[in-house]
Amino acid sequence: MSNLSILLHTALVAMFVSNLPLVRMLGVCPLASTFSFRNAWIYSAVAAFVLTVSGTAAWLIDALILAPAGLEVAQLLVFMMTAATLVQICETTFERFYPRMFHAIGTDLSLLAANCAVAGLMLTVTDTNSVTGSPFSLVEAAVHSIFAAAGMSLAILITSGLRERIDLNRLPKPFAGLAGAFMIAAIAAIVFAGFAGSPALH
Amino acid sequence: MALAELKRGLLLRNPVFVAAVGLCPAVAVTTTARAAIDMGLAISVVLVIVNILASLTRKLISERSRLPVILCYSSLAASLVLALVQRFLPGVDRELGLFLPLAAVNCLVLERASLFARRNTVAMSLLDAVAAGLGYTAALLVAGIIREALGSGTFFGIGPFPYFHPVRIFATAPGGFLTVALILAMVSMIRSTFTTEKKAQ
Repeated sequence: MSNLSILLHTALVAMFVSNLPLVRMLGVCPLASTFSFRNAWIYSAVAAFVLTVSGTAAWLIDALILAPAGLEVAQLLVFMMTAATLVQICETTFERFYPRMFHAIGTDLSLLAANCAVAGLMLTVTDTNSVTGSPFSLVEAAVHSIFAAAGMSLAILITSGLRERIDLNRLPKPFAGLAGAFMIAAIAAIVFAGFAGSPALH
Repeated sequence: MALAELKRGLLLRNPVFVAAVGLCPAVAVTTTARAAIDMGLAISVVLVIVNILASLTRKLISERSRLPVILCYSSLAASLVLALVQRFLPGVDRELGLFLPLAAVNCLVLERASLFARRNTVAMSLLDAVAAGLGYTAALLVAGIIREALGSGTFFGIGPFPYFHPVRIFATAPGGFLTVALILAMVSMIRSTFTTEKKAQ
């Protein structure tokens, strides 16, 4: 495969075939929170930013600091601290410049540091690329992070958009709230399972 | 007191189906009952370590610094569990994959540590961790048994059942969401019947 086609494959795999929340089931919580569609836009933009930066940063930290120093044991600790710092920066910026937006999504924003998607992505880009079967290069890691972030935003927007429409109807009582949110996620996950090709569902 | 705490952790405040925390592994690693138990136990061990640490240092953790500090504890605990599992139980490591290190960011661990252990004594926090951990394991086990039976037609690896054609979707990602959604709906139905009965009395 040429370089360009590897990157294209990496991008498509990251965004659709192994979509973070809907296929790999990493970062399911935002799908279950009851955002309005408007707040979902803000949240998914911030999440995409955090995912992109933390994914790329994880590769750099691993390749430039942890691997040369033989500190792979501390990988998890260092990654978590990186993510927490990044989210704290985002949070402070929001609180200072966009106080109204901050109030709308504040608590969900601070929980982004503890989101499985962020941690999962950081551990993924320092592992092997499923497209090439060899470890990620810097460019591949960056492309994977950007498109995984886009896939995460897409999933959040699809589910919150669907929920806004579905909430207008009369739902059976047990399915109001969390159970309904998971039902919607299940439907979206069936759609995304299609990207992996048919054997997954046969 | 210990019994009441256990009942609270297992049923009244079940982490997954009532409080709805730590849902990622509940959706992901419940394809078989065996994997569900392993995941639940791994999370429980991490939770016990983190709760004890958070409770020991509760005087030092301020409201603003709690998330970074607790994340630090939980990633230390998860690294420890990961290293031990990789060394002694390589099969479990393969089975749980990425979700074993992700115990560091499990919402249940962070919730119990920041809401309970930060305000209570070490003994109480230990008890809380055991109760919540058992409740979590039980919830994963329920989802695991259902998904394994429907998706693969086996029970703890025994089977396949005769005259039963497995519904493959339950072994895949959508099936995880579907199973959790149905269990959540059932729990909310049971809860609403109980609360209306109380009102009627």
